[in-house]
Amino acid sequence: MFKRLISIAVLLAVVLGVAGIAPRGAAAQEEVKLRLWAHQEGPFNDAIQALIDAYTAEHPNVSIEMETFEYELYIQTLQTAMPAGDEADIIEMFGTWTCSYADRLAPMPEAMAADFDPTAFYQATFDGYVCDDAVRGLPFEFNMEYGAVLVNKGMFETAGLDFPPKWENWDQLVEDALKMVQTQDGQMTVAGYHFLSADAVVFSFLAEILQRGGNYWNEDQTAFNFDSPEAIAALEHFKSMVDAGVVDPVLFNDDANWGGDAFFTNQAAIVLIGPWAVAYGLDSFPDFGAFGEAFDYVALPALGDEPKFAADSGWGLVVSQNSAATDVAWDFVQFATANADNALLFNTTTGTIPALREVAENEDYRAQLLEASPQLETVLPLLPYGSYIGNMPDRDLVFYDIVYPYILDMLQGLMSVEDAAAFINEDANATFE
Amino acid sequence: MDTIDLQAYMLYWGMIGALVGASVTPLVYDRRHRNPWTGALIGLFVGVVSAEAFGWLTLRLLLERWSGAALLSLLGCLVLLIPLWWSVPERSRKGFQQRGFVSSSISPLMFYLLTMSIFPFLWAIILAFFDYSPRRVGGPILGLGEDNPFVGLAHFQEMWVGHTRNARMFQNSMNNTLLFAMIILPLNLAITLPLAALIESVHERLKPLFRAVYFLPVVTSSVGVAVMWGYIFHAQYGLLNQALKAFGMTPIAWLQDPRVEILGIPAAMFAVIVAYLWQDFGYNLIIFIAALQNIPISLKDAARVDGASPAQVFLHVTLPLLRPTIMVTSVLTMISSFQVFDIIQVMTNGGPGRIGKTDVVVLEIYKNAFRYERMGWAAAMALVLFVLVLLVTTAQRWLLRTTWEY
Repeated sequence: MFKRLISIAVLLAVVLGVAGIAPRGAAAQEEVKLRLWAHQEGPFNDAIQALIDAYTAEHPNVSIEMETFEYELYIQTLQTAMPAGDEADIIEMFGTWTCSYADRLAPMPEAMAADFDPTAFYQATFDGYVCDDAVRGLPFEFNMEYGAVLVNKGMFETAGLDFPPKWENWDQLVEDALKMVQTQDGQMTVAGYHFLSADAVVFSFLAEILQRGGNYWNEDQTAFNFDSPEAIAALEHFKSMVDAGVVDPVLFNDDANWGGDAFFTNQAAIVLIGPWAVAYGLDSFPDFGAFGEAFDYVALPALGDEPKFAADSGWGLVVSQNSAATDVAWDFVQFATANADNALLFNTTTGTIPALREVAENEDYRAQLLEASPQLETVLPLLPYGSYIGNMPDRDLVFYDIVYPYILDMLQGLMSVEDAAAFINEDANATFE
Repeated sequence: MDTIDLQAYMLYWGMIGALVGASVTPLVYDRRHRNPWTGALIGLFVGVVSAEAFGWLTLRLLLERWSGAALLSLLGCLVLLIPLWWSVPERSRKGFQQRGFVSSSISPLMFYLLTMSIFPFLWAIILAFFDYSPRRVGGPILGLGEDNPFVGLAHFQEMWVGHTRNARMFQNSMNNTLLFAMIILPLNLAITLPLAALIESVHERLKPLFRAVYFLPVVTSSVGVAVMWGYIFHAQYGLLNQALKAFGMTPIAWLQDPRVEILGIPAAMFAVIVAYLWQDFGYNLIIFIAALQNIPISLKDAARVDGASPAQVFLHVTLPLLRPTIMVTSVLTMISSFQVFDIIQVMTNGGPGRIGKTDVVVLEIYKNAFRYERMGWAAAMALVLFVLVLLVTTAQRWLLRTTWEY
């Protein structure tokens, strides 16, 4: 029996050896086959596929296959595939996540870096892709959650207010909001100004600190500074609006009556949310009405001279350290993101804010962009005032489980403004340990 | 080979090879009067090796020329297994006959149990002693060490005596889990036991109807149940608040307001308990009905002849005889209460409040593992939950043990 098994094993070894050598040869010399991973989202996938088609048309020896995953599955796949080294060559990644995967990503090749101009991108979105002074990817889009609000035309007109509103200061906004609040049986049924979704609260907090001349980082970005006088002033401002009655923090927050849905179901007159919500509303609530007719997207008043705000770094592309063709993969990344025509293609297809300055600032590109996404007209002038949120040890933990819950507790009357600031600072700084 | 998912195919090959090798080979060994358990082991090894090697070889050689190559590759395990089966020499001694079927049935299942349950369990135990995150590149062995350092008992120490946010969240979730389980268990038994006795007492033709109606929520999707109860408890449009308003009472933000309490229990916790009980109690009810039907009628008749009232028969005959069933249902209910996740995630997501009023341990494990990618900390919490369930189950078995049968 053992002689037979040994014979079979020898035969197997010979066959495997022959197979391992034979088919490789000359055919694989020039062809480069890459895989690209992206999360499932129709317009994003369409845009990336169009860019792949354009690139492979210019480089016939390169083929790029896109594989998509449902969002939650995508995150889990990245978590498991990257340690196992099974990831694709090119990965669509949210800029803010990039540095936490930095060890597994290929830096921009030196030859490419020599000619690369980082100021071509807005700082807020590019900085998320820079880890330990090395560029680990390039952004497609500018992710903006603060700076402008959705406004409901019908509610403004019913309340006898001008539409679209042009607020010069926060008092005017609050005054308008209060006129549109509705209550029934002692419960608020329509919020005047809904700014209590998690992203809205956190980005408002960061923006107000910056606009008041403060900073939520220490000088070398090694610790948070969430209990500064500017931070406390920001919290007091939120508290004063809630106390005035623009929104009920128990009935309108991230878990109950989330801002986007509250707006498009006529439960909020003014909602702080990113411009992406326009496409979301038109898609999910087709009966609500058209942009520009039933609703609009208008700028918030600034507290200081400049409408400063902090922003996540948006979606972009990175290259795996494990890729066998990192130079080609990087060439595609640069082709897709740093070329103005291609960046415009992505932004117009997806309705996203450009990360590349040229797309937002060149008149021709800007006209094409606004034709596809008119809601961006409000935010384009604000983009130079954005700054990257900074590389936090755990951004989601700090945002959604520390800053937001403490502020909501404070607004619900469960703790004082000073306590909220102190606890946020303590818990957020503990994430560095 | 680049057009298909090679990782997935490697998994398919291994699984098919293991299944075929470990199930057929013991039968062959048995027929040749050899030890079928040895056959299962050899079959498993040869099946997996053959499947991987020849599966890969088939794709490598044929995929670009023939689309059926992917399907054919799934048969790679047979390349070495068939010669193996053919080459097993026959023994004259008939020592192992009849065990072939047992071995061929159990071996593949054992393999799947080992790979799908035991290995992940052991991996979780190991992770509990490391500060492991899949984002970080760790040491060469399974990513452990270096940036994912060994921390010994630090996670457990932090859970019990720490004052960090992690510790506070764990302690809160453990308190909530215990509160949830301690309320669910007695309430469940208090509802299901008398109800089962009542259903047993109705006309034979009505029993199936009651059983079906009460069992329906059990087979309903937990997410659906959570959404439905979420609407019932909705602050503005909920059925419950509409009823309160009709009676002139003030509506309550059941799921949103962290300040509201009902009998000392947070309103949100009260709401999820109601939803969970509604869905879960039918399961125990069916078990109790089955147990009641198994109690010999002669025992009850004997008690009645001795002058016992219906209540006395229930208390002194039925209830003691249900003790083993109560033990089983208690253990099952306690375990499922400790593992509650879906209803709470959908209804409250652990909230309301910063220190979530309905945040339970499994929800914390999920958040830490898959949202914050702190696998080490999540594994340590999972290990603590495992030990807790083990201890509670053991205690219940000891308290409700019986030494007799009927």
